[in-house]
Amino acid sequence: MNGFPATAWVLLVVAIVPGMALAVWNAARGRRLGAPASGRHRPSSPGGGAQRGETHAGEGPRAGENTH
Amino acid sequence: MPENWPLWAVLISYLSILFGLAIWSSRSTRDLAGYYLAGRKLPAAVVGFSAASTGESAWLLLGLTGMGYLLGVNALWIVFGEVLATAVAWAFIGPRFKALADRYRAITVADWMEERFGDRRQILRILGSVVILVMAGTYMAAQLTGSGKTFESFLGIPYEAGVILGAVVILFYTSFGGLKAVAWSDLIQATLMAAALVALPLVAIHEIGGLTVLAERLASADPGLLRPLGSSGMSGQGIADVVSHMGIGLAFLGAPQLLVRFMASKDRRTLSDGGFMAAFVIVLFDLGAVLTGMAGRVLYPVIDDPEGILPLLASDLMPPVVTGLFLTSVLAAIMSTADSVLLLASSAVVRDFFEKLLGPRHRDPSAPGLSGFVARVTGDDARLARFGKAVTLALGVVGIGVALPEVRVIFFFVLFSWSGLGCAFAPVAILGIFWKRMTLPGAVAGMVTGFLTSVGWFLWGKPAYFQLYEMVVGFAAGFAAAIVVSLLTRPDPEGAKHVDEAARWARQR
Repeated sequence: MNGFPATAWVLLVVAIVPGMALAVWNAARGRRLGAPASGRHRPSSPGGGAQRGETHAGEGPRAGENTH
Repeated sequence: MPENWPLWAVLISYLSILFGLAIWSSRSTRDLAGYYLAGRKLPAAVVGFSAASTGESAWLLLGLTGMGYLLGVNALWIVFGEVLATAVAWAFIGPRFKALADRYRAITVADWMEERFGDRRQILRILGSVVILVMAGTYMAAQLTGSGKTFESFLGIPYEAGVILGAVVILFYTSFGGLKAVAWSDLIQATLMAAALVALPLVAIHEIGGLTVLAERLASADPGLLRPLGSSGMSGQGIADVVSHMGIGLAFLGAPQLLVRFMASKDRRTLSDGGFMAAFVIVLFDLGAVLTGMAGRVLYPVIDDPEGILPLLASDLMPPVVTGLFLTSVLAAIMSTADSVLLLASSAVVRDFFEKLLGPRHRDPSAPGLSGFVARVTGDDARLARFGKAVTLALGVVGIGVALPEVRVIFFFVLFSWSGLGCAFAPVAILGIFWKRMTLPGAVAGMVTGFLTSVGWFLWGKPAYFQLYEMVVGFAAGFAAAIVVSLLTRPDPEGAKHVDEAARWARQR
């Protein structure tokens, strides 16, 4: 096969196929999961609703535990 | 008009685009999340290409092509490790990591760790900041060294001028545009790098006379160049080489400069599409680099420095304007990594050290000296973002100071820093996402052990054990320490709830 030994071609397939197959599967899964749910707003984080801005000391979910 | 004006023309066009990006992005950097996370609004193509080009560096175009030259098909194990690790990271780690990052409103990885492990004394923040500053500083200085060498070899300008020129451009768009400018410039830079690494091996193989001739001439030069286990074959050295090559990809699972890309992604779907793009681009990058090196071995069987094979091929096989594109592709690889680690170091200083460590202890703006300064800066988000830009500039100037006296491209520094960052953060982040039993002492042990083992192995263990790459050993040690110490300490029920919530979010979206 083009002068390269079969083992070299096998390594080429091994190098590319598993990672790309997983990436393709993940992209397909993202399209299924990411489809709009019949007009219902879906929160983008487990806390509910998109959260913007940044954390200030003592603001996070463990705020009660933080001393700083 | 200088003889090499086409190179200058291409270079100036490229730099103009970067300056334009900086000005366009600067409007979105008025608060800290805008500056360090691009407002958490980056689209899939941008985060995907940005992660790929940040993870690679000048090492890709100069170091990996050199490995292709020296090792032949054995270097394909690097492709395997990097592509698979990238796909795993975006499919399994990214969604959960981002879920918690959004919940915590984290801006840095240290914010994430502090909340996930309930680190009230901020031990992980302090340790993480120190590791980032040391490793990212080394990483950036090595990239600036690469900038000096690239300008010198392509345009014949002095090394020192090349370091300064590269640094000034990076500093401008990183300081003014923050992560938005960095990530969008990465998109352009990754495209340039991919184009160069697809075009050059095709032209070189055509010049040789096709794949059959390439294989025949490689086999006649050294049959080991066509063997998956290389010249060492099935021996301790051969296996250690394969494991080391695959291990280079481990940091794609959780180096902080890549975790930040997950945090800056727009939403869950962005992570899926971005992951595909990142893996695809890395295939183009790595395969192109290895093939370039192999073709270079046939065309130039004897050269002083195998890491100079790409510039040599580009200048001999391509017309001047296209050679200019290769110059910009090498600079793109350098800049896309240097800007990201620079911003990472800046966030460690501003967010982790200044705002989170000093801020709570200095709250009176009217206090004299440093105390009042800290209170005034940390009390206002816009002021903090402006301070971040100043710190980015200052760190860049320090990087120039480190890079200027160095006259060689030291790629082992790049792999060493890549390993240190990966070993300190990835095991802790991965276990923190997936393992409910993980505790704060376990996280501290994992970070310290992973980092110190990586450094210690590089300094003392590597020569005695087949040159096994420090990332492999550091990763294993980091995981082991985190698991053992977590099992020996009291469980953290609150942290376990976070793991459940992240898993639920990753499944639902």
